[in-house]
Amino acid sequence: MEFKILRVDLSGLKFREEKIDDKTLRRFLGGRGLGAYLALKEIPKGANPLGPENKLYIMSGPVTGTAEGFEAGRTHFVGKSPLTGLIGESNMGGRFAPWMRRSGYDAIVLEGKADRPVWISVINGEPRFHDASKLWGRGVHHAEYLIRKELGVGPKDGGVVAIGQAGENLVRYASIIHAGSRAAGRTGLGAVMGSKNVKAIFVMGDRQPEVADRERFEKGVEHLKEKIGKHPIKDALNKYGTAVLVNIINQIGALPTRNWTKGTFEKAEDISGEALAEKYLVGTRGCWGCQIKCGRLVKTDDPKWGVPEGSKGPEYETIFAVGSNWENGDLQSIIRLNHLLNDLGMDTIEFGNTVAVLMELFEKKDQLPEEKREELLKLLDGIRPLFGCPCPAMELAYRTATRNGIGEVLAQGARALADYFGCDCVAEARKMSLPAYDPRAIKSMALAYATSNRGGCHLRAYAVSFEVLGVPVKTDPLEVDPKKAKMVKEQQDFFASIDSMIVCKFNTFMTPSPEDYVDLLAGATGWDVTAEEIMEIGERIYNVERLFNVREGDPGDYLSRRLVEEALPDGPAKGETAKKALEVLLPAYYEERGWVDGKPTKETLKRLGLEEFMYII
Amino acid sequence: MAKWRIEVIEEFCKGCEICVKVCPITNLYNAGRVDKPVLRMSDRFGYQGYPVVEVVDPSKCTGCHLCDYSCPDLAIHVIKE
Ligand code: SF4
Ligand code: SF4
Ligand code: SF4
Repeated sequence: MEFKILRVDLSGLKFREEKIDDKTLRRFLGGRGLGAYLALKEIPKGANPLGPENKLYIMSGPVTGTAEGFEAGRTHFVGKSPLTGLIGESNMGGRFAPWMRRSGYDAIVLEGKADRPVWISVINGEPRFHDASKLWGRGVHHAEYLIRKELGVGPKDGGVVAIGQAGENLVRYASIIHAGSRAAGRTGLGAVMGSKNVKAIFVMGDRQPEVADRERFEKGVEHLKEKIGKHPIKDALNKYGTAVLVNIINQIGALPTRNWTKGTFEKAEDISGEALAEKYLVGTRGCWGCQIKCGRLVKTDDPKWGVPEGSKGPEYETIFAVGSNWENGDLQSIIRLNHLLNDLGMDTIEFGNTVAVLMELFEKKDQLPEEKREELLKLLDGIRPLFGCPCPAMELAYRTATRNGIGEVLAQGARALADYFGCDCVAEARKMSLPAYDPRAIKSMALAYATSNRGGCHLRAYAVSFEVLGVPVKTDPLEVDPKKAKMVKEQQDFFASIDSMIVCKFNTFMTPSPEDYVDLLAGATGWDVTAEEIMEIGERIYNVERLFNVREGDPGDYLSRRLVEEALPDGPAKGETAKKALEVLLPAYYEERGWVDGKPTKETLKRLGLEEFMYII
Repeated sequence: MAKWRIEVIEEFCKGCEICVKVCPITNLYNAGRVDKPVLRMSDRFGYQGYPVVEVVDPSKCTGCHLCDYSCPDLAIHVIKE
C-alpha cells in the first residue's frame, strides 16, 4: 500500500512530495488516524492555531474512491483547532477525496502561510498556485463558480473545497465547504485555512486508486452493499434525511430547546424531516458512490426565506441549532439560514448555539451588571435577538462572518460569548458547543460528549444508536449503567477506524461491527487485518488524539454547568441532569481505556505501540 | 453618512426582481418621490438567460440590506465602504 502526500509550503510557495511507509500506514490507516498522528508529531507544542506553525491535513483513506455502494466518498480534515486549542478534526461528505486521489495524491498538507491570498489546483499530479485576490471576500458558491470558469471545467468535473468570508476573517468556528453545502463544519478548520491565506483547493485527474487484492476486496464490497441495501434505516435516511431524527428525539425529551433550558419543542413537527419532505423537498443527493443518498435538495415558497430551487437542505443538527434551540418553528427560515451559513462558511451548530446564548443574554439583560448591559446594547446596534424569532439571524450571520459590531464577540464562539458577559448559560465540552442530543435525557451521550477529544461532538461515539435507535441492541436512555462506558469506548474506537478508512458513519447503522469491514480493508490494502486489529487501530488513534490534548493542556472530561446542575423541566426526562451519568460512567470508562484522570498510562501507550509519545505523560 | 457599494453577481442573478421590489428607495422612485432608483432590471441578459438587475444610483442606498437578505440566490451584496 502506497500513500502519497502533497506537502504545500505556503511561505515559500513550493510543493513537495512524501510517501508514508506501509508500516506506519497500517498503524493509522489514513484519514483521521494518520492525520492525528502526523499532527501530533509535526505541530509544535503550544502552536498558535492561526499561526504559520499550525498545519492543515486534508486526508483520504485506503478505501476512498475505490468502489461504489458503500459510501467511500468522504474527506477528513485535521489540524489544531482555533476554537478549542486542542486537536481539531472534521469529516466532510461529497466527492472531494475521490477526486484528490485521482489527482495523484492521497493527502494534501497545508503548511506555513502565504503572504497574499492564493488558491491551489492539482490536476493529474501537477500542483499549481493561483492568485485569489478576485476570490477573496466572496461566498463559497461564487468562489467555486469563478474557479471552474477560470479552469474551464464543468460543475461535475473535479472537486473544490473553499472557505467563505468567515474563514477569511478567522471566525473561530469557520467551516470548509465543498460543493456549496458539504461541510467540514466543526472545530474551526476553515479559519486555519484562512489564516494561511488559502481560499480554495481544486483537484481533478484520472489516476484510479489501487486495490491490492481485487477478489477479496470485491467480496468485502458486496457484503457491505447487500447489508446496507436491505436495511430499513437506509430507506428512512433516504426519505427524510438526518432530519428524520427531529420527531424521534423530541419524543424522548432530548431535543435541546430554548438554549438548552428545555428538552421538547412544541413546534417540532413543523421542522421535522417529514415536514421537510412533504413541503420543500425536490430531490435527494448522495456523496460519491453512495447508495443511501441522505442529502436533501430543497426549495422554499416564502420570498423572505428564498433559496435557489434545488439547493441543499439542512441536516438534523442545523434544524436544532437554528430551529428548536431558538424556539424557531419556521422551517423555511432554517433552510435559508443553512444556505447562507454554508455560503459564508460557518459551522451551523456553533453559530446556532452562540446566537442562542445571545438570545438568553438579551432576555436577561436586566440581570447583567450595568456596564455589561450597556456594552451589549451598544454592540447589538438596534438588533433584537429574541427567542422564537429568526429575523435578526441573517444580520447576525453577516456580522459574525465579517466581525462587525456584536459579530466580533460572536465570532469567538458560545463559551467565549457567555464568559464575556459573565453568564454561565452555555452547553459545551472542551469549549465546543454541543450538538442536538440532550445528554440529560440520553445518559451515554453525557459520557460521549465529555470524552470527545475534539470537544462537544456526537460523532466520536454516537450513543444515540443504541440508546434510541436500538443499533445494535436497545438500551434504556435514562438508565445509568457502567456497562455503557464500554459501549461508548468501543464505538469511539470503531468510529476512529471508520473515519480513517474512510467510510461514512451512516452505514455503520446497517453494518455495526468491525467484522463487516475486514474483507474490504484487507482487500484494498493487502494487509491480513482482523476485526480485533481494526478495533486496536481505532484505540491507538483515540489515544493519539488524547495525547495531543494532554500536551496542549487538556481541560479534561467535563460538561458545562448547565447540564450537570440544571434539571430538565419537561418531557420524559423531566428532573434529570447529567451529573450522575458522569460520576458513574467516567471512572468505568477510564478503567476500560487504561487511563488515569483522563490521561493514558505508560502501560496503555506501550500496549498500543505509542512509546514515542511517552514524553507527553 | 455611510456609503454603500452594491455588487451584483450577474452569473447568479435569475432576474426574479425580488430585490427591486423590496428596495425602499426604488419604491420611492416609483412613487415619484426621488429622481433616481437604486436598483432596476436591466435589458441585458445574464448567464442564466434572464435579465439581470442593475445598480442605478448607489449614493441613495440606505444600507437597509432588504435586497441582499432577500435575494434567494445570494446574487446581490450590499457592502459598507
Ligand atoms: S449516507 Fe449521506 S453523508 Fe453518508 S455518504 Fe451517503 S449521502 Fe453522504
Ligand atoms: S439579484 Fe437576486 S433578488 Fe435581485 S433579481 Fe437577481 S436573483 Fe432576484
Ligand atoms: S440596501 Fe436597501 S436601499 Fe440599498 S439597494 Fe438594498 S434595498 Fe435598496
